[in-house]
Amino acid sequence: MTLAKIERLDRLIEAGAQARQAEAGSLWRQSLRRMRRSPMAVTGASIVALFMLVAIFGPWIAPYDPTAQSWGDEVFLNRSIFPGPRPENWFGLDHLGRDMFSRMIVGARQTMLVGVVATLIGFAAGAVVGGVAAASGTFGGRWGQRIEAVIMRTVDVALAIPMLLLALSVAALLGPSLSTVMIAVGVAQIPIFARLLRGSMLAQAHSDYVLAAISLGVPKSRIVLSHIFPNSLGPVIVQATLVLATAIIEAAALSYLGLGNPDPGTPEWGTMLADAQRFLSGAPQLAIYPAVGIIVTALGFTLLGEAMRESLDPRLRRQS
Amino acid sequence: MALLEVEDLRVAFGGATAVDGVDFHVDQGQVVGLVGESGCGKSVTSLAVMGLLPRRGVTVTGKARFEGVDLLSLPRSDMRRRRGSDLAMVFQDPLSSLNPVVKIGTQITEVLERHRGLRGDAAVKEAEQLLDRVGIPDPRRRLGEYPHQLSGGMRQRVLIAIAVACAPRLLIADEPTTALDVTIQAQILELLKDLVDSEGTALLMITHDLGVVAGLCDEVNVLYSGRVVESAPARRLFAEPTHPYTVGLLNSIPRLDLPIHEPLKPIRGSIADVIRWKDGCAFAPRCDRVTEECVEGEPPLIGTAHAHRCVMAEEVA
Repeated sequence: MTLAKIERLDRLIEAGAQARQAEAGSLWRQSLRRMRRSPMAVTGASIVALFMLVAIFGPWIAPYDPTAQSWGDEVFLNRSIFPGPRPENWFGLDHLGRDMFSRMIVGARQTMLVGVVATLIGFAAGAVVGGVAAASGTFGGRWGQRIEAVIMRTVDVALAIPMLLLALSVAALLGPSLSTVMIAVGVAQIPIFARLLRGSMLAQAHSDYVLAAISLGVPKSRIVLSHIFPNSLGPVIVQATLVLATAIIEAAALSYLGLGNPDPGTPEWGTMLADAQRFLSGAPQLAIYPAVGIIVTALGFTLLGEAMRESLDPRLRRQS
Repeated sequence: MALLEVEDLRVAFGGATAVDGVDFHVDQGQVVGLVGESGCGKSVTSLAVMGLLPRRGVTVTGKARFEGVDLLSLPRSDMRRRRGSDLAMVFQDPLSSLNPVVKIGTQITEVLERHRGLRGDAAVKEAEQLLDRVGIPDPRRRLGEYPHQLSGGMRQRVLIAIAVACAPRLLIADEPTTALDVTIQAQILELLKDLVDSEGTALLMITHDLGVVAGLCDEVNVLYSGRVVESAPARRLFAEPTHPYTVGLLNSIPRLDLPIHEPLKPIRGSIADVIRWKDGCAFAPRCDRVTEECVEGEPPLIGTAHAHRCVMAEEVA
């Protein structure tokens, strides 16, 4: 073999090693790389990022104070017709003469906050409930199985109640306020998360690496916490992004039904929707803006969740 | 005294008997093979010895004495302490036997922590030495990697490293080379052989590959339908197989010293259904030399050094 050939071979080997290095990375990093190539994921992530930015910086972006009433120079000729979009108020004014554009921007924060916090509550509580059920059922012997049965039947009962009804009863119990909406929507999501995590953990509990860990005498608690649990999280995290969308819609529904934040000073899309109801025939734009806002946010989260599910699904995963 | 002595082991899943009175023993530092086709009870035997069978719907009877202590009647907590330190197991599929989201290093150190009380840097250093011991280059980097970043052969080496981490006296390998390609198989077998020779670990090798047995084992037990049908030192088994099933197995392997285009001789039929079990030799329905005597009653295991379970044995040989 000539020297040049050897050199070329060496370079090839090096390139191969570098490619391998680039391909390396954890399961999550790999699926992240796959997601970057999917237009669905990019669209979803862009929408979510945009609304997050608006939610964070809303009060500074908004051109007017969302609570300031600027009827002043307008004539009260017909109280059911409000100024529509115009250069100084892009989205027009609402029934109290407040700038709709500013209200939409500032309202994003409340809506997103409710969605995220409610999902976190549902996720955390559901993970505990489902995790305890799966762990006690798999490793807890006869008593553990009973505990699991009790927990899961309770969850089944909760699942049978329509989610909005469940949220509504919790909200009615706690009285209308912002935290009520969060807790109510969050509690309504617990059964879904619990069931999903339990199913996912049971599937992992029968996998070979768990048997291998048992065969090495690794303690049960460690097997559950550091082997089964992290492997079961994938579908639950995906579910969380999908639940975020429904949580936002449900929070809006609760506000619409008058169980939301009663403070008129903090605009919120659901409340805005409820307020617009009275003027639907004369000024439908007042209902359309918050409705579109809710739909697009939910769509963004759904796209992102769907893309995450696809990139994490082992059946769709390409071997790399 | 034998290191592991399995006596009349029976495992039944509901009505189906998977292991039906298996006896064998493994001496200190010995390599013993458990051979048979799929469904003959090899894996179930090993899982029963390790106490890894689910408790629900499974009945295990008989004895599995490890250094005189019956593992099958030990309290569960005692058994848990022994697993991994006194006896350890290497499984068939190296990818699914490693946790995909936990780093290799953590998977090794958790065993060191549990059984040898090593923590922090000491555990990491020991893990590094273990990987080096099983022939993984650049062990320090590998510790921080995930199972999917390793090749199949490397993963099996990692599993072996984990299994021998606490210097068990008995290592059970359940078809450790089945999921690997041929050149890697040879390397893994070489590694196991090397470990056994240098550490004095006894090895119970579960396989369907008679080539593996020939290259590795001192003693061989041939299983058929949940029973030992022939048991002999490896050399003698290959030199003079006695049971028609063993003969059939050997005949169905391609050989270099036979004329080209000579068709292989398969064993006709397939393994007997464990549920519909009748008296008589389990192999009788597939045997070419079956007589009336064969279906009248289960033949006993005859002989000591080279035992077999066949009434026609003398004629076969």
